Amino acid sequence: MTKGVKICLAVAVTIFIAAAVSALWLYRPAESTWVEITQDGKVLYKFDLATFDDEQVQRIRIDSPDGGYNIIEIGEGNTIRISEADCPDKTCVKTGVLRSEGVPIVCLPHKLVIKYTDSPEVEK
Amino acid sequence: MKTKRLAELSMLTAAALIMFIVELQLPDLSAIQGVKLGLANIFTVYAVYRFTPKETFLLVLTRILLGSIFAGKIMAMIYSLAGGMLCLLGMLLLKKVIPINYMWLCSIFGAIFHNTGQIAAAIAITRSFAVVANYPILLVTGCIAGAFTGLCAQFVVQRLTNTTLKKEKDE
Repeated sequence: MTKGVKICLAVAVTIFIAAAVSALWLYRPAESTWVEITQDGKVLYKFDLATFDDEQVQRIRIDSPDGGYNIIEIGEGNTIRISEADCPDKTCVKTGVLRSEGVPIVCLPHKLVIKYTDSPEVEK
Repeated sequence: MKTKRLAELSMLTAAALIMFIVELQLPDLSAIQGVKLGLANIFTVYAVYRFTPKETFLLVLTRILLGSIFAGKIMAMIYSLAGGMLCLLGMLLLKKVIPINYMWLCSIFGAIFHNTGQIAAAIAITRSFAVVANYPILLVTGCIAGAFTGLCAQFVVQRLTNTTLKKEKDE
């Protein structure tokens, strides 16, 4: 094993451990109940999930400028997910319920992002 | 010699394409976009050590272009290109430091570069840093997948050198 290989191996191991640690950190449960929906960098909606009725299911339809759509569902237990999309891959639907602060629901074809955000109490 | 090389490259491209299509038929490993084995990468790693940079570049470019068309995901081509090209560039540079019997290590770096390229493309397209959240988990799975594909390529090279040596002895 040459010196170059040893350095490369050390770098690879470091990246792997750093990535594993930050992945665990990112997947911690969310503290905030505020959610932000953005499309193409612009904020469309920002609301507090805790203010929604626990048992009622609400749906928001978001039309994308390029003709597609996503249906966002706020369901039981104040959870939010994308329930329907007309994109071919359906990654956003498969992502399921928004759980942690670090991991947003992303729909790449429609440039839609749903994520937890800080409560805007400071601004009020 | 030139024709033989061309035939060999074409065959590798075809084999890489088949692997790529076969992998598409497998169910998604995870809801996170981009988490996959990247079986076609076996051929890229192999080509990096067997062919010139130019030839490898052509192989990867052809595979990505045709693969995206066959898969019917033209949008995904931008991600594939960004990831594939950065991965190739990184592996070609690292090849100078990492000898052929540590191919798997080079492949791990290839996976890291691939994920980096894809995340960069996703940031550029969505104009949001939200996708960065997937980066660590992509790196973890990418390292494992990279080691796997790298080892596959390593075994191919070992088998090939064994048979070639045997043939030379027999002659």
